[in-house]
Amino acid sequence: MKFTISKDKLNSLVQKVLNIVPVRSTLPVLSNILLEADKDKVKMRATDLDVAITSELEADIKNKGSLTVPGRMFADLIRELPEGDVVITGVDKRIEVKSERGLYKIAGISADEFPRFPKIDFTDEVKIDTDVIKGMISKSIFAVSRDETRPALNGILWKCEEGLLTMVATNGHILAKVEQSGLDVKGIEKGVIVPPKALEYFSKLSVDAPDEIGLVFAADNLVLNLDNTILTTRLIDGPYPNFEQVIPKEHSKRAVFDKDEFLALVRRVSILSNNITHQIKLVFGAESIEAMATNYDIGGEGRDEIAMDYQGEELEIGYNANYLLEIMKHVETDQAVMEFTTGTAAAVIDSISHPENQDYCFLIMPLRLAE
Amino acid sequence: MHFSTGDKPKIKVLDETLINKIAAGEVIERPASVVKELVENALDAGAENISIELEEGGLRLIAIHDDGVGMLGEDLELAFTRHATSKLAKADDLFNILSFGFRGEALPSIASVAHVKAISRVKERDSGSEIEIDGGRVKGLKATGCPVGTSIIVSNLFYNTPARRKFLKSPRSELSRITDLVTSYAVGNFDVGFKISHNGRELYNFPPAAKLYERIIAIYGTDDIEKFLPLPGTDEGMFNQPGSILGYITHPVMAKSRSNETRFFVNFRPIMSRTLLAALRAGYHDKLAPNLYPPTAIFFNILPRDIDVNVHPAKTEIRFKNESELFPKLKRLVEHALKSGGVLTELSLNTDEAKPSGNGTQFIHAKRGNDFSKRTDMQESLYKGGFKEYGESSETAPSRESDIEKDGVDIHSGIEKPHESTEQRMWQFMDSFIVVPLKNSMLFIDQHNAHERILFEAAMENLDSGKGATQQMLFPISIDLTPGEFAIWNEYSEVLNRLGFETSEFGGHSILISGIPAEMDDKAPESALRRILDDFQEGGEFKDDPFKSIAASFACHAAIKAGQKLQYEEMEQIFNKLFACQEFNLCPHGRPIIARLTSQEVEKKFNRHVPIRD
Repeated sequence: MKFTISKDKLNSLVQKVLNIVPVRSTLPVLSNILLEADKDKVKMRATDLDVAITSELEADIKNKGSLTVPGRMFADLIRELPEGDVVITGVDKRIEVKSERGLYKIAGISADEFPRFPKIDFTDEVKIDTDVIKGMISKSIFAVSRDETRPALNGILWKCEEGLLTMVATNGHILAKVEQSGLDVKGIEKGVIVPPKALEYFSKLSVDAPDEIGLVFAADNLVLNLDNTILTTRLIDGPYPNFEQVIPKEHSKRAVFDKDEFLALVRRVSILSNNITHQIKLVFGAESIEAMATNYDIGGEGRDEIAMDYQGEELEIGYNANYLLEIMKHVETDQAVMEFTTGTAAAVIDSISHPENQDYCFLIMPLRLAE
Repeated sequence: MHFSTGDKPKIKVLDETLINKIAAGEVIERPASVVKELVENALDAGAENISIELEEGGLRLIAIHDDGVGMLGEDLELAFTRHATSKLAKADDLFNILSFGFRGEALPSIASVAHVKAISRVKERDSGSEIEIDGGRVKGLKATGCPVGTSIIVSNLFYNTPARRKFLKSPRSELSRITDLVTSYAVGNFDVGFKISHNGRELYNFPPAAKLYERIIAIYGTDDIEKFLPLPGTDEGMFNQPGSILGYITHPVMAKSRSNETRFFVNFRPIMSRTLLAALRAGYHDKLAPNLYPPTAIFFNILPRDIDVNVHPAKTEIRFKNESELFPKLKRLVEHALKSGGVLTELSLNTDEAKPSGNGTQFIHAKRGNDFSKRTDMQESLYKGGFKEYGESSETAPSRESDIEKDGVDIHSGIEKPHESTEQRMWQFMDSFIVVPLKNSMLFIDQHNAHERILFEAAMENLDSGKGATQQMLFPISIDLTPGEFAIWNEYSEVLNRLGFETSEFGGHSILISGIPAEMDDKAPESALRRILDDFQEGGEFKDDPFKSIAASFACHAAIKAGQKLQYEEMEQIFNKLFACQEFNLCPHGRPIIARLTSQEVEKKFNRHVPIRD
């Protein structure tokens, strides 16, 4: 293997795949990046066995070949090289990095020992606007559960029926649902569960991604095609809980208020909430929302209120302040809407209007107040 | 003291009744021992259905009816004579024991410490016989009409041995021992029907099952059935085949804090064995926490001459002639079952070998639904980015900390407050201890014990004041309890609710969890609740104070565990909350929370001259 490429290009390529290289691994070869030189392109691959990335750039290839190199050391070295062309040569199981005046050698592991990547069939690929998919991910990913004993909740449900793509995430206490119409993703009518790692990384990468990305679901994997970079992630086994059933359809009470004022209110009052439960009490009255918190440990309490437009009887409900804040951050309009019927069932939080073709809402379960 | 005062000899041969009473001391310790002996007799008699009636945890009444072969009148009388047994005729037979009971001690022993009535009929006769024994003396034998089989009715157990009675636990706790025991026999003899009722209420009814699998469903319900992993060959298994090892183990998430559901059977007899338990653990590798026990039903068919069951009168301990072969065999089978169930992967099995063969690995080859070790990596990266704000929003300094701040040293323990700095000021060691360097010493805080203390104090407060807050759940979890667990839940559901659990009856032995204490870590609330119930089956840790017991048990099972990676914010939270506790040196069970390494101790290790400090 031998090729020449500019330091900047090489660096951007290494940095792209480096993120997937696991910090610790029981399988030594996974700490390595696989380099492949073929025809007119150099390819780099990395995987932690859950997520795999392949990224490629054009380079001046002298000899074809492949080898794996320790990821972090290689990346550090490339980053520190001076500007200019770099020549990479594979000699036996070592890689030689030649800059204008320097020569570095790093021992690698044979490419045969690197996990084999599945062949991807792109015939069912769908192109989707990058910002749309990124927005959907960001509106749902925060609700993903951390509880490893419920694997299905550790990912985002993706489902596409009749041109409507739905993403849902929940940790059992809050739930986020985002829908986008006018999309036709094949093969996920019944829904699949996508682990968040690859999606998070995609959101980071997509800063300089093309305007449209390709999506393929195949053989228990989701493939995200960003032109020169392909991210593959395994899916989580279902079944996903029946979320439709828990979203209340009718409400007897509706509160409309300024989102920023509400966020500030909750932040202020929650400073004096119990710092394990983060419990905050909301009293919905005729013209205001009152927020209250008590922390017996420090002998503190707080009470404050903001104006609000409310229809319904006065009601007192407890919530985990952190969940409220987390959800409110994703309400996109200045005004937020909160709808509910009783103090012991899920409330729906929503923005006052939605962008074209998009619909979303959030659910929050009360932190019941003891009598 | 003088030994004798007159000319009468003082040493006498014990009379039969007294001998039986002494023997009873060995075999009959508590109501469960009576049930055990009688159930074994019923099984030996070839019963297809056994029904057990209990009153007051078996102290007032234990009545066992079977449809086995029955006994003739004269045999019935003989059965209550010491060492009379139909199962053993000469000493050689001791080494070829296949039946459950063999000592001939059981019935006379029981009869010496209780009122006993026995009714039995063999199918060759039209009528049965009835015998009554009171304090070891046969009071009469008469003919009576009854179905084929045997009924033994034991009432007022230990009425004549008040000392023994004193050592018994509450009827509830005795009852849960009995249900545990009968459940074990019901697993081991799945082809026999078992029915049990207490104070007139049916606790459970297991119809005779054709397969072990059906009996497991009858006991555990269908919710968790996919977590039962068969040992190779179990599904089509021939349980009678000599040398066979068959049965089920469970996914590590099912593991419990007590070992009572980790069941081993040798020739269908429930037994205990450290060797087998160790082999089972070895098979789970690192997937099983050292203080937890997975429910199992593992059947060993071993030739009678290769075992010795006459080790202990209660016959629960067993000795194997070929233990060294059995250990690796069981370990391998367990590994195999866990691998098929997706719990163990080749990778995790190979961790102790230097380098796994590289070309065997494939990217995302199979669905590895439940491989937790892999999943954690993934989780971390998400929450490092996504959940940072959580810590920021509401960290407040608890009052105790400001006390510490005042003079740098806390009066209670001489613990200084860490340096004020924006840099990282604590680290995690072995994923189990929070390490905090101070000016003149280094603190090691046991994360589990510390969190346990924090939760314990919060729970005690909630129980006292009834202020427990409940985080309600979008997707309530239904769990199938065992009959014993259900009985405890029934009794303590109100206390659990005060703690913040929201639970309700869900038909049969199932309950629905629709809310959890807001203090609780979100992970697997159902197994924490189960373990709390299990602890209570034992009567609770603080016998005098059920609130304290339930708070301690809740704290123990809801607290983060050793070996769990913590985010920096989580460490800070534990640190701050711990020093806001009334007591922060000991966990509720009395184990230390904080260990301290002083600068002098460190300097000593480097052979430094210890500078004189003022």
